[in-house]
Amino acid sequence: MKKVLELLKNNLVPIMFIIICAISIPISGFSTSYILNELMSRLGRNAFLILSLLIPIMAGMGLNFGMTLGAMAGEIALILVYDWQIWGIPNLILSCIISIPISVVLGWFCGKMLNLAKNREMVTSYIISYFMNGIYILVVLYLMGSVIPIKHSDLLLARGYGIRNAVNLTTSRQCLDNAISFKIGGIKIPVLTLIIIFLMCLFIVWFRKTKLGQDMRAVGQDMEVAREAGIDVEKTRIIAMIMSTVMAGFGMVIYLQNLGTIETYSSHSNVGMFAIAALLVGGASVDKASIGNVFVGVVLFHTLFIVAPTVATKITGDSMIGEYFRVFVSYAVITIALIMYEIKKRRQKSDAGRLLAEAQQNKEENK
Amino acid sequence: MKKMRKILFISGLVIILAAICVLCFIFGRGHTVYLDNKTTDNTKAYEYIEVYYQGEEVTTLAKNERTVVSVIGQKLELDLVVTEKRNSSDEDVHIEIELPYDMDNIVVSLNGYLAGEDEYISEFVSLLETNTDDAADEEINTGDEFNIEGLEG
Repeated sequence: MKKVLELLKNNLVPIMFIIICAISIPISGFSTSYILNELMSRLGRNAFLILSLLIPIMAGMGLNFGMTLGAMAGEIALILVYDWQIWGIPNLILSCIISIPISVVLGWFCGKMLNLAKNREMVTSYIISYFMNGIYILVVLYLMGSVIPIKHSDLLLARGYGIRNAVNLTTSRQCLDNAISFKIGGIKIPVLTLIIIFLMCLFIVWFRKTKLGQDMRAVGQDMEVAREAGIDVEKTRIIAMIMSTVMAGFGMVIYLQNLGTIETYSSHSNVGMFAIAALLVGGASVDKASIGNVFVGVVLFHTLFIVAPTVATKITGDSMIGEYFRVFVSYAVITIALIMYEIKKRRQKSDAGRLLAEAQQNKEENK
Repeated sequence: MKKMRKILFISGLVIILAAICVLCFIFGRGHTVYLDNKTTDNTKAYEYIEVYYQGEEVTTLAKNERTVVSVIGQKLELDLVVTEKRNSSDEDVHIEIELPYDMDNIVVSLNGYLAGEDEYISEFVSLLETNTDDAADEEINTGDEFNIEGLEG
């Protein structure tokens, strides 16, 4: 009984989502094949981005709100490659490669900053993402077309510089998803995208076993002990941030090819929030996350995303409430997960204190 | 020694990535190709040209008609079934055309190419101007959640 209660307590967020989904799906009236088709599409779209969050968690840096930096790098790369008129799969490969140096610089900067704000990584990375958003806007809204050459006028605002609100990726839309795909019972399986996600999972599993991966885990468990063991803590944390940012850049390219449109000034901030929320819904916490959490999270979080607007329309008569509900849920999940993490940490601390006091008391009694 | 290996590894990686970039630029360059069967100064349009691209029929061009295909890469390969004049027999033709790298929108005169004309490729220039009035009205949403602009007042 105690074990069951512990299990329920540890998986409160996923259980809550399973219940909400179980209630919402029948109300929505969607067919199973429709929901599965949408889920498969969203799995391909989001999984890579969410996987990019695992390495900073492993290194004890919490949820990397700075992943939006990688997303910005991916967007800049896609805009440039679109302007160079590279189409199809080469577009995606080139965008990923172009995003690497931008992501490395941004990840290095973020890592440096987070080393100055140890134990306050999440709030710091959150604010860094706002700061970098300002620089991103400066680059995209003012420098592109004036300093950075942009040849195609359909990308530019009427004044001749600055990128439009929305960029249509017609020449690379779903090219990865459609490259190798088949349908089972009306459900489209984007094989190549899933293979890439699978390879990324394999990479993470392999990476955990490498020297650097072990170092990151040691740093994540206790920085002081890791330092005593001769690990360069600061460098390891910076590498974790760089890796996460680069992966987020790749993830953003995959995400946007699936959508087919870049919302130039807002795509990156949305993906960060939704990726973190999905990971938490999957049962991850600030200090512990696994590949399983990623997939459980995508399924539960996005099932709710699919059905929420229709359920809201049926219940309230207003589909906008469903849209607000989705945003509300994202923030609420993050808040609940953070509160639960803090409660758990305090409980563990008090339990440890209690055990220590008991041990001391026993020692004194034995004397 | 370890440092040297690290430098070599990074250099190798950069070279490989640069090579992939070059390949992407060559094989990923996209073109919108307009295929014409139109009478020009030097050549007359054919009666019909059936156009097949990548094994699929695109269209059948009658006299003075145009169609469009999207091409990735620098080579355009087409299979054509050409009917030169009414009641004449069809002729199957396979053509390969090198596309100019610096042109996004290319007009290929199929009848010009088949007749051996030198200048069968030209750049397509749209006569439609971008609607600047609409574009000027575009409001940029920079996602300023802190509403910093609003704080000024």
